Amino acid sequence: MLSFKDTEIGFKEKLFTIPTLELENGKIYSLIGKNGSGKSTFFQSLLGLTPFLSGKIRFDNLDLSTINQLEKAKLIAFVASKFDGVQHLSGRDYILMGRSPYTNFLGKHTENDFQLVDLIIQELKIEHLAQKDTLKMSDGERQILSIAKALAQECKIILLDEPSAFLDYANRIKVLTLLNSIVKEKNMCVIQSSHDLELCLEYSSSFLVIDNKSKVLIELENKLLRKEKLIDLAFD
Amino acid sequence: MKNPSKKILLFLTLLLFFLAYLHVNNGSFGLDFDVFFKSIFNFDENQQQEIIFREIRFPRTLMAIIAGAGLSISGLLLQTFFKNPLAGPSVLGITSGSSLFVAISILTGFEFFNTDFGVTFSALLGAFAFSLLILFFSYFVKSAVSLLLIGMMLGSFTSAIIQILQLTSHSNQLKVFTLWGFGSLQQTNFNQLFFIFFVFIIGLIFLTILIKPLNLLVLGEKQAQLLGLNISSFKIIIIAVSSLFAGLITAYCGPISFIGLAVPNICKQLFKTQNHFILIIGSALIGALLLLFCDLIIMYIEPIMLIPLNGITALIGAPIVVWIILKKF
Repeated sequence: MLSFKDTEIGFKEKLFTIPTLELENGKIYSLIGKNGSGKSTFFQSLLGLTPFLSGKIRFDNLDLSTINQLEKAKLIAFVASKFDGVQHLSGRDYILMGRSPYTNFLGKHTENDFQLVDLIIQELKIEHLAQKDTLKMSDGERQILSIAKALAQECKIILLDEPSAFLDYANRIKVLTLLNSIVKEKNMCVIQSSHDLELCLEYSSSFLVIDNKSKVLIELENKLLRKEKLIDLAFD
Repeated sequence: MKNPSKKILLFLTLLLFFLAYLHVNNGSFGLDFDVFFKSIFNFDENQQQEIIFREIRFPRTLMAIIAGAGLSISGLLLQTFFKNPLAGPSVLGITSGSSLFVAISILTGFEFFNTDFGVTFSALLGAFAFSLLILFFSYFVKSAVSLLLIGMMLGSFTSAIIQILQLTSHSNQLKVFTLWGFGSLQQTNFNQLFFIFFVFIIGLIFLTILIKPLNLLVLGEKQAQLLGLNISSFKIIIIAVSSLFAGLITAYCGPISFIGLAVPNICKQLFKTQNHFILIIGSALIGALLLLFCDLIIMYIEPIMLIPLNGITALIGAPIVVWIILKKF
C-alpha cells in the first residue's frame, strides 16, 4: 500500500533514510526510535505537513506528494497522542468531524454520514460517550473517540503518535486491542509510534526501527524479535 | 439542528422583536405602525412624527441591532480562531486600530476623510491592519493570555497617539472625535443606513462559507488541516470578515467594548454546542438583544442622567468577563 524508495526524512537536516520499505494492509506497525530520532517528522511527512527531503513515497501507484490535502484526508488519518477535549463538543459531534473531507462547502452532513458514524459508535461500543461532553471525558475515552473519528474518515491508513503515552495500563490494552480488531476487520494499515516495547511486542505485526547508529529505518518481523534486540538497535 | 436549539432561537427572535418594539416606541409619542412605515417607505417631510421616526428613532434601533449582532459575530470568530474565550475585537486591540485610523482621519482634517465613506474606509482599514498585527504576534506567543496582554498594549499605545493628535487638533474636530469615542447609537442618519446594511449583508454572506472551517478550527489548526481544510486562505477570510464587522460598527458607533467578548460566551453556555451555524445566529441575536437592552436603560434614565453607551456595556460586560475567567482560567 505504502512504498518507500530512498526516502530521506527530516526537517531542514536529514534525520534518517528509508532505503526500501513496503507497508501492507491488515497490519499494525510499531515505529520505534529514540526521542528526537524523527518519528513525528516521519508522520508529518506522510501527512504532507513537512515535505520529505528526497526520494519517493508511493501510495499504491500514486506519488504521495502529488495528492492534495483534501484527497489525502480521505487516505490517511492522524490520531494525536492527546486530545484535550472541547467544551460543549459531544463525542458524536467529534466523530462526525471525521466526515468533513466528504461534506460540501457548508459542512452539511448527509443521512449517510450520520448512519456511518452511528455504526462506528455501535461497533466500538461507545454509545455512552455519544452525547457526553468531550471536555468531561477521561484521556482513555477521548483516545478511543479519536480513533473513531479516524475511522469516520474512511481512510486506508491510520497514523497514531504515541497513542498510549497518556493512558493507564488498562486503557493502553483497550486501545491496542481495538486497533488490532480494526486492522483485521477493515483491512487497514496502522502505524503507531511508541515507547512501550512490551505491549508492542504483544500487539503489533511488525516493527519499524530507526537504527540509532546508521540512521536507517528497518523493518523487523515481530515473530523473531526479542526486546533486547530492539533496545540495542534503537537506543544502543 | 437539535430541537432545543431551535426553540431557544425562536424565543430569542421573539424577544428581539419585543425589545425592538420597546426601543422604537420610546419617546414623547408612542409607535404608530402606519406612521412608522410611511416614514420609511413613503416619507413626507412635513410630518414631524415621520421625521422623528425616520431620522432619529428607526436608525437608533436598527443600529443597536446591527452593532450588537456584528460585534458579537466578530468576537465569536476571534474566539474560535485564537482558541481563546477572552478574545474580542476590543481586547485584542482591533477596535483601537479603527479608533486610531478614524482619529487620524478626523483630526488631521483631510477632505476625503470627512465623508462617510472616508471614515468607514479608515475604520475598516484600521481594524484589518491591527487584526493582521495580532495574527502576526500570535505566531510568537504560546499562551492565550499573552496575546490578550499584547492586544491591551496595542490599545494603550494607540490611545497615547490619539491623545497626542487631540492636543494638536482644532476644537471642532476634537468635539466630533470625543463624541464618537463615547460610543453611541445616535450618530447615524437614515441615508447612511443603506450603506451600513449593505456592508453588513456582505459580511453575512461571507459567514456562510466560514461555518465549516470554524467548526473544524475548534480542534486546532493542525487537525483542521488534516481533515482537508485549506487553512491559510480561510485564515485571511476569517480575519477579514471579523475586521469588517468590527470596523464597520466602530466607524458609525464609536468603540463599543465588552459586547464582542461577552456575548459569544453567553451564547455557548446557552446552546451548549460547537456548531458555528447555531453559534453565529445565536450570538447575533443575543448581541442585538443585549445592545437594545443597554440602550433602553440609557433611554429610561436619560431624564435623570446621561450615561454613555460604553459605561453601560462595561457595567454589564465586566462582571461577565470575571465570571469567564473564574470558570476557565
